[in-house]
Amino acid sequence: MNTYKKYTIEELLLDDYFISSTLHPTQDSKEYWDYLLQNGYVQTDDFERATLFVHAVQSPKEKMFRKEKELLWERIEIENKKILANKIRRLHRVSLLAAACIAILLGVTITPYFYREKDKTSINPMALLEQKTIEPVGEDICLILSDSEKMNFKEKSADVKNNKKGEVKVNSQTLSKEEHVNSEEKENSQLKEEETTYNQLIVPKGKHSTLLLSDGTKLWVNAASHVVYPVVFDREKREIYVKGEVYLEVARNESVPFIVKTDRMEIEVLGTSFNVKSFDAIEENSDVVLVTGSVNVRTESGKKIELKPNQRFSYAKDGKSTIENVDVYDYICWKDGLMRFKSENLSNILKRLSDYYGKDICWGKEIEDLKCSGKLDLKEDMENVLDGLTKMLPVVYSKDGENYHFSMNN
Amino acid sequence: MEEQVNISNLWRRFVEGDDYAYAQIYDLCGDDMLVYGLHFTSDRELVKDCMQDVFVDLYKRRRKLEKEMDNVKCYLFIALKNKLFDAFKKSVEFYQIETLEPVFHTEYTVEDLFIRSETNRHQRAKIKEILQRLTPRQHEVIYYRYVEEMSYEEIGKLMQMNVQSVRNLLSRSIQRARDFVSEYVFSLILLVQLFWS
Repeated sequence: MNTYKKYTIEELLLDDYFISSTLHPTQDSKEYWDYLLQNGYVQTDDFERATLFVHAVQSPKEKMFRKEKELLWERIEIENKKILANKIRRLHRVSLLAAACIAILLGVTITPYFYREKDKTSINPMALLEQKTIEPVGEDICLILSDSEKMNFKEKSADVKNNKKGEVKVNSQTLSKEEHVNSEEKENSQLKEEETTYNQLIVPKGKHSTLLLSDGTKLWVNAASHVVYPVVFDREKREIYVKGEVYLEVARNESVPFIVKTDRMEIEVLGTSFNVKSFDAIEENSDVVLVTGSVNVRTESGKKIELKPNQRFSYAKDGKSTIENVDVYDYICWKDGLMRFKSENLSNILKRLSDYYGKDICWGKEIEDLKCSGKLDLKEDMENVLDGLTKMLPVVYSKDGENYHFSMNN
Repeated sequence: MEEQVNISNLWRRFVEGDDYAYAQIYDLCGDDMLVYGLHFTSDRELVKDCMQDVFVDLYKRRRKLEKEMDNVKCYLFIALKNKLFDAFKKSVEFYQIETLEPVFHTEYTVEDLFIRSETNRHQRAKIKEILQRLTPRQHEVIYYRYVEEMSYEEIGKLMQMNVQSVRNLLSRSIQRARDFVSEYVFSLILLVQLFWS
């Protein structure tokens, strides 16, 4: 006389909800099945047997070893690069590698400049950049979390990942901060939205790092660079602060613009990839180079420029600006461990090599303006690279301890 | 479910040209793919070679791929299974053997399930024996359904069967469950529950 349906073991085992609540029980699912059990829709025996079955057929879900997984990924990437290289050859060297990349170069002057716009936040992230100078050669990569905890990494490069919950992983190791940051952040972002907290990544000379932000945006952080970024982005815009050189692949999100601020300009994108560079010590112009897509650049003087692909915007210390067409890969290839340049002053090249390898290089004034074009593979030993330079140009170098000195080869 | 949506988003970004999304798909699905592949062969290096082929193919064909992909993992499993089977076929030719049909094999770790209980060895061995008596296709369908939690449509694609046949196969497989559970292990259920709660 039962008018209601009774579930059999088979029916339970064919039911999606039964399976998911057995494997990932939630409060709701527990209540749901308790209700059915208590009201006789399901017999306790049947339910328990079905549950046991699901557990019994689980096979061990082992993971790949970390190293194994990385190695396999490297193999995939190498294979892809080979294929890409063939394509590039076919496409008359249309640089696909650089497709969807914007390169922004900012040779920044040291004149301290504070953003006029009064920040709503209690901490001024721009000020964080100002107060902290890049650590000297030989120091460790340093990550400063929102609660001022400082962590150093001895490796030559670090891989820093942030997720939506505010957890931070370095070289695949989750920092024990997660719970702490997590709960604190949730409160902060929900209750006191204006109180954004920031993490900082400081990469000294001779080191480099990758950084994954909570929205999926990836940064390659070059030597002698400093990035300040919010633990969790706010809902209307994604802002980060950069001093040094970074290359970014911005996760596309049209409704939440991504903004990179430096002390002399800000760059706004909706979702694409670009390179930001600003070395204090070089008295270079500020540059923005766009590969594809479009970006808006706003300078400190309030000038607003929209860039087209393959254009380079350069912004001189004295406020003069020019736009020219360039081969953008020249400006972003550092992330692949390469350096390419066309009639670049030797002094600029030596400066960058010095930062990249973290060794001091000095040179005589007479060679400063030598122009140089070519490609250097930065994955090689520094001395191999320097030897390469002496073959391209009429220069020689001598080594004094850890210091290198370049002069004209007479 | 949430994970599926997330991977589908990554997939769309990857097809649209986002290399980072591509790397994340590997990161999220790589482990499961290896585990899945190892059900067909114990040759770990072979599975990894096939995984490499799967990912490189994706990259090559990126522009031709569907942007909307509801279950990326299922797609990757199918691709991996095909690669593995191709590799088997090659080795069949190589060894000049008539057939070398790759079969789905599972090593159930019932021991772990009862590790904290006082269950005697005999009973454990019995459960394992019954599970191992299932046919390879029964193992396979059980794996998709209860480990990977796939839908009947997805399982159908993976096993090249229609949805109704999948249901039938699964029903037949779990009918055994009733027998084995009632005969041998019901007395242990309380202990198991302690373990799982």
